[in-house]
Amino acid sequence: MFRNRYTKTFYLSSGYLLLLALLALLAGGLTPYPQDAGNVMHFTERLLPPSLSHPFGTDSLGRDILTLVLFGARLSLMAALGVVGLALVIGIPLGLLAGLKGRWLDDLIMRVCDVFLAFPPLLLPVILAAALGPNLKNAIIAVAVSWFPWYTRILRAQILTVRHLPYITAARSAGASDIWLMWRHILPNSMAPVLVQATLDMGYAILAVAGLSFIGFGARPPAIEWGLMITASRATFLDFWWTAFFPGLALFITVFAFNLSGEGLKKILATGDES
Amino acid sequence: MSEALLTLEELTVKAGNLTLLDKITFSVKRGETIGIVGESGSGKSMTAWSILRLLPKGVKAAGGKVCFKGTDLYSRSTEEMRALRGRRIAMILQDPHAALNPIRTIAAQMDDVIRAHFREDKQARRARMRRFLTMVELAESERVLSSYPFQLSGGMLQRVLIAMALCLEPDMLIADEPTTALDALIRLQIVELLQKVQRESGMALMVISHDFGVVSKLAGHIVVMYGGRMAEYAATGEILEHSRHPYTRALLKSRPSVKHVAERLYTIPGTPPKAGEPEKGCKFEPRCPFRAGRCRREAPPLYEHGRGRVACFFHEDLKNV
Amino acid sequence: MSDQKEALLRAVALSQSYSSKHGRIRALNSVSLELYPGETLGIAGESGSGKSTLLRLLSALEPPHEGEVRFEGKIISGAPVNERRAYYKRIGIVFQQPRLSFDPRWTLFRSLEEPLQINRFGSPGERRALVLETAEKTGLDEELLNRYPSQLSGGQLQRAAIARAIILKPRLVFLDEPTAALDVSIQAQILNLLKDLQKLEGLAYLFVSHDISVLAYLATRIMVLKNGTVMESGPAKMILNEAGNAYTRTLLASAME
Repeated sequence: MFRNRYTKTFYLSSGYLLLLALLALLAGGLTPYPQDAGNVMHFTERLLPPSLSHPFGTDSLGRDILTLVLFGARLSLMAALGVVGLALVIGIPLGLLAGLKGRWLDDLIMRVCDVFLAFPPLLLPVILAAALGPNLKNAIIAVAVSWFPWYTRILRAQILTVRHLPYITAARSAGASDIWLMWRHILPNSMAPVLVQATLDMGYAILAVAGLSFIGFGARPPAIEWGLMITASRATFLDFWWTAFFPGLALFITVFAFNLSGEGLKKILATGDES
Repeated sequence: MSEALLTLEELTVKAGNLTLLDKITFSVKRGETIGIVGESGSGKSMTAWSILRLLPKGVKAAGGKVCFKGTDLYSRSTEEMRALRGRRIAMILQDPHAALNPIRTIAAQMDDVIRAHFREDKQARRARMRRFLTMVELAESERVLSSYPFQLSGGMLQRVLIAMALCLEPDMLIADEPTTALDALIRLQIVELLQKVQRESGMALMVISHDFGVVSKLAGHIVVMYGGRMAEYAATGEILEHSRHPYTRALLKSRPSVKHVAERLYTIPGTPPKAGEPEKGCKFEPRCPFRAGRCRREAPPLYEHGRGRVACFFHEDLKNV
Repeated sequence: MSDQKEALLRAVALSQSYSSKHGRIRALNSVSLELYPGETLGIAGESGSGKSTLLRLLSALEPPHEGEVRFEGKIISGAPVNERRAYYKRIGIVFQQPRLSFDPRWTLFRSLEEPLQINRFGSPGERRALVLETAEKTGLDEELLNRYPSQLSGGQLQRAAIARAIILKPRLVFLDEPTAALDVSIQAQILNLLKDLQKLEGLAYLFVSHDISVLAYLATRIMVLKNGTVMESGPAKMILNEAGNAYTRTLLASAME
């Protein structure tokens, strides 16, 4: 039941993201240098500037950067889905419990969330990632665990509003059980802000994981991930700009696209009944 | 004969191709009260906004004039309009809570208003605030001034808003549904307050409401609006007892009454029109018990009869019914 | 007041308090009432009178701190969930805001069908037939049932709300300011509809309103509520014409005719 509020930017950004996902999936078949996605070295082709045969140039190991960016998209997108997915899996049930059951359970859950939210946004993931051991999987877990309180909060707030609306009372007074109310009315009408936030967060998730990889707590070589690529280019980017530029550009555009999609989703899902 | 303070001459307002107000014509004299009655979509609030030139985005005046003290307000500059709003023509709205900033005291907000128009020192401003809070019968003016909006009841807030509107001593006050958000008892008090305030200040008052009861208690003349057009204009007594427009009569008849409890309420079939429909002909025609073929083809003009104006081809016949 | 008929709904000495930051507030102060089959009890009250709390207690959505509510002789206040569920099937509620009375994501048809589905009534075909029949009774075009709440007017939504309230064929309908948010001409349509349905379906109404002229039209008996206490109560004609209580008289004066 979406009113037609699909904006052009939403189409554009979602289209880009789908395209990116597709390209990432088919990366192996698309690039002329699939073998570059690994621990190889082409001594003679190191640090070549962008050209027809290497549109994004090559890195310090001689690998084609365009290929690396496409392969890197896999990890970055999976990281985004992993982080947000895990955060939702933890955050939604807690939000439901807090919003629906209330009283002491609500207080407990909210205080736990407060603890997590008290940390500066990137500090907690760093601490957790360091504690768990530096690899991509742990980085994803670290960020997800640091972020779930947002979803809990948002969902709970929305539930608290929806619970008291007349149509809930109407259903209850027709004999609806709490489960019926929750499953058919409260949850569907409360999810919109959570979905919007989740979409926006996908972009930040990529950034967070890239950031963790950058400082060594996330993906490690020989994995190919955009953050890792930017780290690896530290030694070379001053003289060979393309080694940092293209992974950075990919990161930027993808995060931006998630932002735009999130904003577009907000418009689409807006029921407009709150004045 | 005293000159009119405010005159609307064939004011037409459009949003793109949709006509929101169609040739609205009436005038208000100094010291007079005029009431504008209508249901949703009638254009009654839009008329008020149009007078103050506070039209929303995409809505523009497409014809006619709004003459205030002799000059067409639509020929004035933005600066002049800003100086005029509040100072010469003030307005109060339906929901008193929404009209005030919740995180500032009443005193601060009233002060803002006074300072925007007057060059008075702090003492004088405070005295002015107290004077008008007393006029609206708020006994403990100091307490009210230091309060925040949430600490006051709806009725008290509406009095505060009236005081804020009056403290600039405007020539005219427009009240848009001033009692709708209030309880029945407070409603009566606010109506009586408006009567008193108008008597004492001699300003003109325009009351906009869907409630005939409120309007007829306050206004000497009434404009009945329907679908963005004027249906009828006459003295209050004429409208209530001898209306010549099918809509006005139907509307009056469909109100439940405490004095004459009906067996069955008179109903107007159908629903009020949305902006822009019907295109041709009389707006009320689809629901009118007196309709004829002509009503669908042409829109009736505003006929002048001795005791007022009415937009119906059959107003002569209705006089006798 | 008829003594032969057994009261459909009877409330005895209902009291309710809430704790807030200003201390304990007594929302209802020993309120008693009876509602007989087929009649309308009008409750005249402003905001803060306790009418919303009263409705919640009478519809068993909340247990009272003191007092009891009986439906057809059986206690339902503070009763266990399954007994309350049985009560819910015998009552309907119509709220003040038509737009908030429906799940914005559901078509009107689905919302009307919901009470039937919750109570596992019949087959989909039988449910559909009942929805259509009830919609027709409330003057709703079949075509409108396929629309979403945002596509309908206040009057249409309120008709749907009434249809939903009566679809399980209750004996009693609670109405909380059902016409307060509607235009005058639409209000007249809805009030007439309510009157007709009452005769047609043999319904008892408990009608809460701050507008005494609306109560004058529908109510057999009127009860005036102020700050949680009953000021006056009796046959409608008596209250409207010979009210003794000062508050009642002010309420009547505020009708401004």
